[in-house]
Amino acid sequence: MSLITSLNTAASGLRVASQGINVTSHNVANATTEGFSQRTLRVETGLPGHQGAFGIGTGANATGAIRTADLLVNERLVRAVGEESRSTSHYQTLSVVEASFDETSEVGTASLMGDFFDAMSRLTQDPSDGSLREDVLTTAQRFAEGMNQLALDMQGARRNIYEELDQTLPNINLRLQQVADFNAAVTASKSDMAAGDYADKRDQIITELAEEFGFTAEFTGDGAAQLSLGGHAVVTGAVARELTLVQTAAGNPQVNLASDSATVDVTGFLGGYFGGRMDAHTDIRAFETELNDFVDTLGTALNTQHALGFDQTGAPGGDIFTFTAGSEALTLAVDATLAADSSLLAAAGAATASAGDGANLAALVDIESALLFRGGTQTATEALGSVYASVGRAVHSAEVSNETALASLEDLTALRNAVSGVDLDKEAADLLGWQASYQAASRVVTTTNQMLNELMEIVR
Amino acid sequence: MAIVRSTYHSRLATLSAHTRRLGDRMGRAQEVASSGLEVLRPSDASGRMSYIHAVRESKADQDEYTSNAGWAFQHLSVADQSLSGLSDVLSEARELAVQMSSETYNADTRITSQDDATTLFDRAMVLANTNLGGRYIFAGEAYDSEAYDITTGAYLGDTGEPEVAVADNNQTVLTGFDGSNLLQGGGDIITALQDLETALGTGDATQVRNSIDGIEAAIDQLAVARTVVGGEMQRAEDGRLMAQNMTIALTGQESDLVDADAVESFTNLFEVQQAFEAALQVTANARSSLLFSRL
Repeated sequence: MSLITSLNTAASGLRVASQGINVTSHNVANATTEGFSQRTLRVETGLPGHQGAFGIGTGANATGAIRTADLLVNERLVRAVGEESRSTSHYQTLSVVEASFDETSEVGTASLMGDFFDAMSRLTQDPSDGSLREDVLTTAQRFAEGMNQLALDMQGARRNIYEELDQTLPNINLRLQQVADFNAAVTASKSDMAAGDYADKRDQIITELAEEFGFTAEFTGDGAAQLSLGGHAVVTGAVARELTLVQTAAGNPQVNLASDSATVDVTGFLGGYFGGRMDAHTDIRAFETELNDFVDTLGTALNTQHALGFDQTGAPGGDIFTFTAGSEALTLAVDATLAADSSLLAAAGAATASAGDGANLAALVDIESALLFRGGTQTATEALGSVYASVGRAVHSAEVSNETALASLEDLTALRNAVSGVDLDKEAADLLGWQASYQAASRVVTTTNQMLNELMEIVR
Repeated sequence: MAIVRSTYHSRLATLSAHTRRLGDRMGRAQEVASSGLEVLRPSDASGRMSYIHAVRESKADQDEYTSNAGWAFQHLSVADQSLSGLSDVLSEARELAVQMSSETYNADTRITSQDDATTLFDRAMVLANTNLGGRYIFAGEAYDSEAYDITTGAYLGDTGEPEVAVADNNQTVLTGFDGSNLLQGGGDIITALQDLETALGTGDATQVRNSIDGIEAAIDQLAVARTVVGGEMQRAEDGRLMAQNMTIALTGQESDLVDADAVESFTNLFEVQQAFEAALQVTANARSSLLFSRL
């Protein structure tokens, strides 16, 4: 082995140490970068050279910077991100709706309904009293407005979903294309370091997409990622399919996926933030139906009983409340004719009524405690309480799911960090190691150089 | 789960997650301690919401019952005072009848005393037309106008009897009366006084004597009326007391359902605050335990 060979061998050590420091600095610089996977320098022994019968080592070569990642953990993490995001948006949306059902204040609909029946009960003291009659109409109006506000809040929470989807979808399509482009870049990359960087950036986008839409990811052996929704491929290799938004006849948002033959409705497969919003959409629809059924039963019972009574002119009672089928809570209002003239309140039980005839009024008051609701099993107060209970149950269930999903995400994030995260203590130790390695290789170069100089002196 | 490799950032992330959870718990503990309420929204007690609403509504109903009972009691008290006045009138009428039925008085004296009988009738009419705030107590449900024609003594009201609810299950109390039944049912107070007045006008002792039976019957009727009114007053008072007791019981029940235990909530807040501060301290320590800082 010649001294020149020794110089080259020592130089390979300098190169490896130098690249080791490069990798360490890359890791340290990205220690807090979201989605970054730590790199490990892959070093191989140089192939031996032959001098006579001896095979002599030729040093070391850095053959790449390996991206430390567990594909299974990453796939599960993407799913967990989607599930956590879904449960969070579900819970948060329902929490906003729940605020409308706040009963700690005195203006909750249950209180307002109670006020209305109490006002009618008070009117039994003197059915001819104009101010007490006005009080009944005022409380009826407040109850109707309370119901309107409740329905409006729920409708607003639902409507926002379409608008949000409409604004978000172009960006989602853009990022799906970016994933496809990065897939192409990863598979085409000749350098481990570059491929790792592309994969990290792509995986970060995939995580964000999972957070928004709940895509599931599968990582293939060639380093590409495939994204899908409910089993329908959205990104395959370098190809991304477009998502479009339409509104159904019922006013619900529908997300379609372009496929080779026709579009596929993937709305039911949405996860992530929008999946949670769609879950909330379904829950809110159910609340609205319950509330509408309640208003329909109550309004119909009051109107029917009111029609059996007689007003102060001796005429049979008209409607107390008006409402439209299908949106009873939203459209509930005191009948305009009655609202304008409290003498039309049919308190009396007979057409030729005396001032104190409140027979029909008593029957109207009894509706509050009659078992008319939910198949004749509940009173008005209990039935309205059941709507509140439904909201409460849904919010509580969403909260528990959210906590579970968050815990699962935290566990998987910790696992991912354990596998792929940058350990600054290790990097510090590596830095010392590479530094020592560089110093040692330098010393070999210096020593070999001295030996060569001495050899030159002999020759001279 | 077991963490196979603990890094600086994974340690900080874990601490951050624990601190976040403690922050959430502290927020909830602060909310409960500051509001004094355990149930602030439906999800805090979804299974109890119907019951909470029912208790609150029942409490509101008790307020109405208390108001109704008080209102009824006022009107019944006025009715009772009127009946008391009528009792005096009938006693005086009987004294007058007994006195004038005696043969010691002559016809002229009897005719002269007819004015006394007329006065008694007028007093009775005023009492029978007693009203409270324009509401005629003995006019039945037609209480917005006088119960009796003060000249003829004819009943102008109707046979209905207004009532208000003072408890659940349609328990009601009368707030006015059908005068034609209460004052003129078995014995007729009005007719008895009119008969006395007429008998005295004839100056005939026998006719005056005959009117005494009518007055006696009217006095009996009045006793019945006072019993009826007294009974209603008692029921109104019972209703008021029951509503007040129910309000106290329901307030306690509502408190059990929605209020937070003050000692428990503040103790919990203190504990969570301590844990939160400890977590912050641990996080601060963890931030400094890095090999780079020692190089």
